[in-house]
Amino acid sequence: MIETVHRRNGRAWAALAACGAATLIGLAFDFLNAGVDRFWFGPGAFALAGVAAALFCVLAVNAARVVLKKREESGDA
Amino acid sequence: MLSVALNPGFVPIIAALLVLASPREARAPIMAGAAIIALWLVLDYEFGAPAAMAQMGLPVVLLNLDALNRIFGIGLSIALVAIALHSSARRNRYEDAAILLLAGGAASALFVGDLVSFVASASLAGLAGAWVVLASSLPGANRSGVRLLVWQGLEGLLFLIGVALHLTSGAASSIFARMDVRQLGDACIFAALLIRTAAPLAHVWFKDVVSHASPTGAAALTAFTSMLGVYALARLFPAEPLLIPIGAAMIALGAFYAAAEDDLRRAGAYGMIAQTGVCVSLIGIGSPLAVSAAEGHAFASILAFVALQLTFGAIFERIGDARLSRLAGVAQAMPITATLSLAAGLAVSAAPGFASHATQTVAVSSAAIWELRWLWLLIGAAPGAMFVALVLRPALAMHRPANKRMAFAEAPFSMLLGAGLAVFFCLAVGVAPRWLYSLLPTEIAFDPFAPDAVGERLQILGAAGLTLLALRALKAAPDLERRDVLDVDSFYRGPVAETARWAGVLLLRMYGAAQAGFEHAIAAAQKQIERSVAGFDQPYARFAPGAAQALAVTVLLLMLWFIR
Repeated sequence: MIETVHRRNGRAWAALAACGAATLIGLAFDFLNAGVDRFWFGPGAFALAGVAAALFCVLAVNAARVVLKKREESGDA
Repeated sequence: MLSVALNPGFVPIIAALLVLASPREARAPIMAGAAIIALWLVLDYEFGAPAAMAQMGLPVVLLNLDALNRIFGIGLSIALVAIALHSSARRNRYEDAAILLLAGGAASALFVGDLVSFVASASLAGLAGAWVVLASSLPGANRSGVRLLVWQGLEGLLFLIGVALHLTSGAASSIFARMDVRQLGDACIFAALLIRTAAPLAHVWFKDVVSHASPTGAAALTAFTSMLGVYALARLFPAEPLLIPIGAAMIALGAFYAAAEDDLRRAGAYGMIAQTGVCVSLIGIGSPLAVSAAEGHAFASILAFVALQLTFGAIFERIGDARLSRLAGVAQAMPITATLSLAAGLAVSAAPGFASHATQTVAVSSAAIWELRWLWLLIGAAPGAMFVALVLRPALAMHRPANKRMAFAEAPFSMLLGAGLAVFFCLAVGVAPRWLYSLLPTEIAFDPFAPDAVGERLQILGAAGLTLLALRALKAAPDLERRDVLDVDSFYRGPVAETARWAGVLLLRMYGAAQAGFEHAIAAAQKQIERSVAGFDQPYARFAPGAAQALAVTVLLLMLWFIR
């Protein structure tokens, strides 16, 4: 049981490390090229867009659980 | 030297007939061979229409190659090769023939040059798509196939009405030309194409058939159905402003349901709807760069989503399901499939190094118009939602340790080969995107590996992933719960169908009551007439209807007088 929890946490940490590294590299590229002409957003703002996308997905999951969940396994009427 | 200019789409159609009579070992090579011959024809022909003929006064152009349909043709041919390899893992000659017919119909529709031939080819593809679903052995596949036939019937009807009205409203000919949605006939064709692209409210057929088709059939339906609509919209309705909000709604709806769905194959179908929405909205913008971006993105999306459906199909093949809630232990039991699934998911999310990153970069740039900055943001943020829905959630679910020893092994080799080939093409095109850019109608000089382009994408994907992991840690992102999610079809297959059923019962009863009342009235009138007639025999009876007799005699005399 303990081993299972450790393995599960290990996978989550690996995902966290990969995502954290991607964000840091992305931000570094963005701020190092701060002089490039940009449309609407300044450097680093795309990270906020990513946060918004994830929040949208979590909202979708919660909406599916609370509002949009079918009450029973539907047939194919 | 063969002088006949063969439409490349005819090759898979001919191969479909061959496959029906071929042994199992020969079917996958025939499918792959047909795809390669079609690809060779696409690349070998010169641009233009080599020949045309007339039927009933209408021009029939069976081949008209240009940069717009060439890129789609190449994408479909590559997808068919991957699907052919994947198909050899199972035995179903009818599904093989249906897939070839679907691919052939779609490719024929790409390369014809007139509306009548386009409608015929698209309808053939639609029927073959229904056959693919009907050939599946999954529960509910038959009903899903019939529902698809209903959608295809509606689409075909709109096409026919549209073409007829288009031709009778003063159009010069049935040769492809820019259409106007304010004309009734053109609007019907527009509506038919929106059904084909799985636009909002008509989108349910797509996830329905993908989730009921076999693993190979789902990939074929993903590749050869909705993207044909994107091509036709680019051909017939470029720069149509209506397409911008429709495409945006597709992106939002697709991303929402891709994240909400427990069934990964269905989530993949919704993801495809979102990426189709990107293409549709870019066609709505209509600048040469935007239309080229739409074509490139359609090409990359075909490859990426075929790869994704093939890997999900491999999982489905082994465990009989592709629900997130049932994926525990998959990474341990099927490490290659899990890795391919991760790679296909990254391809779908436009991660740097994949083809979709190259096309997403162009797409975001072409949408950078101040008045449409909300659309630019939506297109830019879409990979974040795809990453969460189709990479991170499946990866975390697959790497969850199972409580008991898994009773299944790695996916069959041919399935891995097909999925691997699709992923390889995503990577190959992504690493060297100049080849793809050179195939687009507009010359594009983008560097997708410029630090700002890579930085933007990594930020979006990384920040989206970090946010999801943080919310999961806070128990605010519940997951891994078996559920089916309501969509529009739940409404019309639930309350609307029930209401219609009751209305039908009510109408039948009303009809029965009306029929009984009518019969009763007839019987009463007959009895009355009989009684009146009988009165003639008893002129002196106490209650003889003397007035009625006098009236009848008067009417008879008048009739005789008029006849005379």
